[in-house]
Amino acid sequence: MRFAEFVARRVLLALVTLVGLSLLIFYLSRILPANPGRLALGPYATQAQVAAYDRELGLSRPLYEQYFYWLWNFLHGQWGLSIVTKDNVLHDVEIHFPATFELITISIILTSLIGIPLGVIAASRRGKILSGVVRALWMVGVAIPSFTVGLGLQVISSYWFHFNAIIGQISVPPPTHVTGMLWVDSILTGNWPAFVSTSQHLLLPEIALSLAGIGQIAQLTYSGMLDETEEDYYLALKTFGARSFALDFKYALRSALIPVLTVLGLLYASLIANAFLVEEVFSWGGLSTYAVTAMQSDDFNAIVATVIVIGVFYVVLNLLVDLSLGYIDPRIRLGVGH
Amino acid sequence: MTSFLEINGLNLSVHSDGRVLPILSDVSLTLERSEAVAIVGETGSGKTLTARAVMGVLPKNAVIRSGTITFNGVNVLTKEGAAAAREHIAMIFQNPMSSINPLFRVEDQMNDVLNWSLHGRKETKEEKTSRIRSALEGAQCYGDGKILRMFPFQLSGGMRQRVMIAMALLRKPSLLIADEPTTALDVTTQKEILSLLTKLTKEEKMSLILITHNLGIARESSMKTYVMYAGRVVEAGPTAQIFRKPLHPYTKGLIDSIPSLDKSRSMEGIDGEIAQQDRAAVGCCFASRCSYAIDKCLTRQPELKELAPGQKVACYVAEQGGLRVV
Ligand SMILES: Nc1ncnc2c1ncn2[C@@H]1O[C@H](COP(=O)(O)OP(=O)(O)OP(=O)(O)O)[C@@H](O)[C@H]1O
Ligand code: SF4
Ligand SMILES: [Mg+2]
Repeated sequence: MRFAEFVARRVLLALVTLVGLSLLIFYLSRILPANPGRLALGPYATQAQVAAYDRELGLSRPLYEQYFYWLWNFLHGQWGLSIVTKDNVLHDVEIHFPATFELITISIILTSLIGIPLGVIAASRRGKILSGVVRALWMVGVAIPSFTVGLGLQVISSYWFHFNAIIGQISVPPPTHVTGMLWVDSILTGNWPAFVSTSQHLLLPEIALSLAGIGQIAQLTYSGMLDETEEDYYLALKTFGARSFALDFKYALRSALIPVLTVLGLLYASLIANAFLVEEVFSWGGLSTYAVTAMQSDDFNAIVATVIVIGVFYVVLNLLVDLSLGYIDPRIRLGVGH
Repeated sequence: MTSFLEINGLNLSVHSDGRVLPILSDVSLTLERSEAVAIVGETGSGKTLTARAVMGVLPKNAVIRSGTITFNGVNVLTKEGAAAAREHIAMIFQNPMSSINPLFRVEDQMNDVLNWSLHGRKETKEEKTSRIRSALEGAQCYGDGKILRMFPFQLSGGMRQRVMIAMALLRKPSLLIADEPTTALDVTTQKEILSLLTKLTKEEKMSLILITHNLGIARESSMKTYVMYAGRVVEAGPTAQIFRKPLHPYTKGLIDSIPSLDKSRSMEGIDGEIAQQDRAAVGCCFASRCSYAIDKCLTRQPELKELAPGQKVACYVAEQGGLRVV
């Protein structure tokens, strides 16, 4: 199977990238700093503690040994302690990452599920008004930053609609831990009250985070679809009796999706950064909040951990975008130029 | 009695940058059953838009200002009429590179085209497969099993054109419109595709509209020829007669400029090109390039008049009995 081969090649490439990433992080965290032990333990640690820590890291051994030792520890969950939480940073990440991941993943799914069909329908002849809506959404999304939208939503919904789920992730006891993502866990454990509460709490931040993306994706899909309807193949299939539904959603959309998928990937990647302000506004307590606290308090291990998590997230994301592009465009997976 | 296909006084404009540009002016064309007509004219003369008007797939910014098109007596300028006409007319688009969606296997697209033509009628998988096979054979696409599994970009230009023809054949059309079916192909393949089209029109009793730059092709494969210039039909009539005795200066220039028909040269013999103002000219649309022009030519567009049996020409000088260089 050609597709299997394509997948295998891309996965291999992603693995190589991950190795590169690990080398880079090793370099930044162990080689570049003059005194990594002091960095990790912070200014209040005693000289003896630092010396002990340095011994633990094996700083006197050859570099390659240090790297493998570091990698071994890393893969076995020894990510070092945070000077703020006094806990293994891996544990901190396990608490904070799922919250952000859930938030931005739902956002990117909503963006695709709303933005793409909106663009398609607006591009079809029926959508004269919709195309105006798409353009307006797009411009509003570009002009107003998402945390402002978030603040506005909080004010409006609490003042006029007496909607209280405007901060935090949940206001009832959390569901049993499965993945750490509260909404997902409440579904997995069939916890109805938690599901209702998390859904309510997700509502406003998701709108704030997704609005701009929906506009952008809808606009991109819209203009891509308009271009497709002037393509010869589109006209040909139409004269061959294609119903517009099949023509738009099967044939034209597939071509129009190529740039859309790329932008969705970029959006997803930028969400993990943009989510910070939205997380602040909604007191979300996700990874972005964790990372900023870490930076403010020079919590070195925590910073390294977030860099690693985000780095891995980008690599996996890139892989997914590549694979889906290869899936929809045979020219990409067969390595043929356009 | 009405003809199989009748275009009558078609006027078409496009909206572009807030302006309305006339593109087709007073285009008329008739086609009988089993007849093969050629539309010739240089680039921008309006051949493709005429065909697209018949198929009801005009660009969004195009409007038909007046005129009628009927197929089999049905007005195709209504939505229903266009859909009805498409049941019997198939068009092969100008560029075989772009006329098949590159992202789907040939199989996929042929299956869809077949299913659309069934209108919900149920057919077994075997019946469908054999129909697709026979369409491919009809289009002389051999080794069909392999072709079906391929993506369009894996096929040569000639093969792609055959696949297009096969898709058209799936619908068993009674009229085939082929827009420059051979332009992008090498000479040998051109010949093969043309003889395929001719064979199909004979065997399947299809009518054919062949759009081409290439006068040699028009001469070989058509019974009637329409010569278009700047969105107008400037000369029309039996092909042999037009080639023997062209009456319009433009046609004459075209034919004179072909050193040998086998070389099948295109429109290189006449200096200049169609200018936008020619389409909206008060006088004759060809006046700016015509070496026979007289004063009258600048005052009004000449009408198409039958100057020889079956041969219509829009030219004052031809009306007065002949082309003398002034
Ligand atoms: N959508 C459009 N918007 C604006 N102008 C258009 C549009 N489609 C076609 N035209 C113009 O209309 C004129 C006729 O186009 P048409 O495609 O019918 O020419 P043609 O005779 O088929 O030429 P060619 O041999 O190059 O295919 C051209 O000048 C072209 O630029
Ligand atoms: S009418 Fe005049 S300008 Fe037009 S083709 Fe005839 S001679 Fe030339
Ligand atoms: Mg054309």
